[in-house]
Amino acid sequence: MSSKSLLFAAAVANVALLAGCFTPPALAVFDAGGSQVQLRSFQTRAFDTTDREKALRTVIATMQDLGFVISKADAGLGTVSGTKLADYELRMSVTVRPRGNTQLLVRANAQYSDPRRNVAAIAIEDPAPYRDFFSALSKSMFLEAQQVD
Amino acid sequence: MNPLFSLNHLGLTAGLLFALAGCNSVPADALKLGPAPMANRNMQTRTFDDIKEPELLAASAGVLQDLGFTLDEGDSKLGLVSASRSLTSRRSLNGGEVAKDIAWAVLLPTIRIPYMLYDAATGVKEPQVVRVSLVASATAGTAPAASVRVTAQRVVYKDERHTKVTAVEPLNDPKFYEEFFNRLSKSAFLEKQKDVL
Repeated sequence: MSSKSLLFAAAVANVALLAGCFTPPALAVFDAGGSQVQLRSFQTRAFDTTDREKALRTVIATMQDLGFVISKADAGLGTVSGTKLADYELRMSVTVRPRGNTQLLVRANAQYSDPRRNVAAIAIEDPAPYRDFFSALSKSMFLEAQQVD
Repeated sequence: MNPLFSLNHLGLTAGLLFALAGCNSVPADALKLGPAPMANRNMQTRTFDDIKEPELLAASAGVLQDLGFTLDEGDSKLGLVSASRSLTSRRSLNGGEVAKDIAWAVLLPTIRIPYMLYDAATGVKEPQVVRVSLVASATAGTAPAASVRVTAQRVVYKDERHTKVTAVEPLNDPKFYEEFFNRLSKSAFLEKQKDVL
């Protein structure tokens, strides 16, 4: 390959990568990227309990342990949301809903941004942070966090 | 090699790295429990005897109001109150505000100690928004007792119009929590004597 075509290929790769970050706004709200099913499974765990209020309180306590300030919670809807500031900003919401008659389903989703460097919020799609969250939650719940397919 | 080519090459590589970094910069430990979660939990939590959870939550919210916070959200079923306060820089303060701001300066983390007194007199040095959440829970046991955990954070801005963020950080100074709980002890006591202010 000539050096010119190499340069061209690199320039195209740059544009493509940047395009991956900046989706046009109109339909971007539907574009969660990645595989929906896979993302859901990263973000969701089942627990063998039916006490929803206690589970929500444990979610709040775990988020506080992780450095979050809780901004909203609604026992009726089963939602908790909060923000963590630690040189970056992490916004996370967690929902707790019944699954069958014996379990609760907990789903978390988080967005990362860096306001100091004007880095806009991006949805976290990497499984590792969610694994860490459920590991912490599971310890506070005294229950195993079960993977859901 | 043509020097112009290597320069271009360097620029493109840098651009490529930048684009990749921009997409994947979530810190690895963002949702990992710290090495000593108990230390923070103890610093941020206080248990009070002979008080019910809703009363303790109301007393805590009262302390935040004393400090000039506005209460943003709450859920009594889950024992939550969240509140925030904007602090503007170098504004002239009127009577009531002075008292609040001096009280507030005591609570602010002491990163800029030399400025503290000056700040208390003239308003804080940098405009900032402080957010706090209070979570109360009844403690298990026969005697009525409840505990409250406070977490706080702030966004510091370079200018009054909040166009440029200079810091986003938790408030981790033990003094902040000590002072808050000192005030809460008094307020919780008052809360039990129903008819007072």
